Amino acid sequence: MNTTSGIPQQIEDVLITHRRGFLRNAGLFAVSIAAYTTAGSSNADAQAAGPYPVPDFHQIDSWIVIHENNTATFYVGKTDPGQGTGTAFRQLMSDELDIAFDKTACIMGSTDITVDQVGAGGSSAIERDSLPMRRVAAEARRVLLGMASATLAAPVDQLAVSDAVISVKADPTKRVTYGELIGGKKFNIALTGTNVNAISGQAKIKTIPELKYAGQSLQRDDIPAKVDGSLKWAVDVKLPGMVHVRNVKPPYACAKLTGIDESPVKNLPGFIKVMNKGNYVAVVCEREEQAVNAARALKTTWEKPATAPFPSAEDLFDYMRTAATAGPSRPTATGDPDGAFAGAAKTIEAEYQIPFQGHTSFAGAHALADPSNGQMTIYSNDMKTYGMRRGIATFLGMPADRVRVVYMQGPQGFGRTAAEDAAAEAGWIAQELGRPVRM
Amino acid sequence: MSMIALKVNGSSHTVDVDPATPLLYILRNDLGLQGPRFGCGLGQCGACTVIINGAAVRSCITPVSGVRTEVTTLEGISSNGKLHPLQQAWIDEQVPQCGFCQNGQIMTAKAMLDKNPHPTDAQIRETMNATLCRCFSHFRIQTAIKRVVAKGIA
Repeated sequence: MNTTSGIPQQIEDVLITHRRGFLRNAGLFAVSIAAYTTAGSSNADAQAAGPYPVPDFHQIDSWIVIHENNTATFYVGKTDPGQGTGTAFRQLMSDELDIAFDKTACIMGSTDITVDQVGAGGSSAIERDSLPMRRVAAEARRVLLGMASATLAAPVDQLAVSDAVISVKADPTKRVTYGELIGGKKFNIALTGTNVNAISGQAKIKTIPELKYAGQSLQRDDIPAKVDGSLKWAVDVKLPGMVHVRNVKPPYACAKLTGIDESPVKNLPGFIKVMNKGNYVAVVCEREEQAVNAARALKTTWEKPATAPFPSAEDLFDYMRTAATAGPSRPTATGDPDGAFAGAAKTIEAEYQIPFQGHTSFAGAHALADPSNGQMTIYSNDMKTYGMRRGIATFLGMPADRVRVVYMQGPQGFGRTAAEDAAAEAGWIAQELGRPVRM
Repeated sequence: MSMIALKVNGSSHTVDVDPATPLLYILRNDLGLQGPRFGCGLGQCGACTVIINGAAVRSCITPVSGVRTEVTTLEGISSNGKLHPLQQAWIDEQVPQCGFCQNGQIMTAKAMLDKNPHPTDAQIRETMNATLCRCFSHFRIQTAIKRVVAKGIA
């Protein structure tokens, strides 16, 4: 796939590398960023030390890069677990920037190269979080028009824009492309707004009739790689020296670990170590199937809690009815429901009992943690990569700028697809062993 | 550990592993294939499905030493850069959401159509029934399969 396809594998292999180089050259960060490679690269040594920055959402350059070949890459702080929001962001931003959709790519949710828009959650991606992206793209278009005005020696109101080419209305042979104006260079234009949702430039976003791609049902850009086997998912990342880990879970909730007997596993092929801290137990092996087998073979003993931490299934609804509420104690009523019931010709009363509902992913939670150079890179499909970055930093006692999370595709739970436990476990073991860990 | 010979998607490989190792781990970790996926590891979900001897096989519970004939994975059903009609139908119908299970869906559908190019709706549902999808893409899966059946090119 080419540089405009926007597929994740390509993102991982090429665009992120390009992006970091661009931001360094653009001087957006006070710190210097060393050469960078990511999953799939054979040159692990190139992943040199250097803080992982937080991209500044006040700069157009943190959101949009125009390349010399007149294509664009959009960088947004959302994650698309499969609802097609990434494709939709491309539609919306292509419209505002006035560039052909198929000349754009969108990179999402990797903490040191995309602005913090939290990730996915609350079904807010299009309704709320696409608005700042649209405003930034509109501002980039305004700035480009101003540059073209100088280049073509014509007032802005006498210029036309189509597919990233600006021309003089009266003489269309006078033209200049976005790539010619700014390709490979930075906008260096500051935006206003106190938070990422409020960010804005001077330009107004287009009205609905002016939108060309928004409103069309375009094919999702992530699907081809998901059906031909070419997508590198979070769980496909491999790094030199990587070890495999499987957890050993207690048989009861709130069980206390009372003993570990390593004798059944210590002579197994590929066995490296049993990891234990408090009630947490995991086995580390050279190969994945060895870790699976060792986790099954390890002998652990646990003490059941004196009192059960949860109600039994038959007591669940009584428990729910008597539990203290954490949120508003009653819904807001408008009008006069009591009066309406009192005056009703017939009142129907019914009682419903609904158990707790939790979101569970299709496959096991997983993460890969790379502790190279005293830093920590987590490859994860967690919807909220930015929160994970802060959590991992706190958990591991590392400065936040030494931790980054690279968002990649994974099995989804749709609603709080959270893999931060796996990431924290992988991160801790990677820190302890000094080797990349796939949990 | 012992040397095991495997033929996968037309290529021959030799791996030095415990013969009881499930085929899935070899495909993913040793041969670098990204089509077959680890879903449940128990042969229950179908995400790891490959085709062996014309049958859809769950590679997460198939010991590598028991594999006697060529293994075909999702990567192996396209040829010369041209997608298999099922893969194209999956794009045309925009089947996947997260997509994690779709390897199993496509490979199970292919094994079915190779044996029975004109399944009834009931036969499609019965065959696909045990290949799980968390995103509920089942209706689009059925539509995509029927698109291929209608064209008669499976």
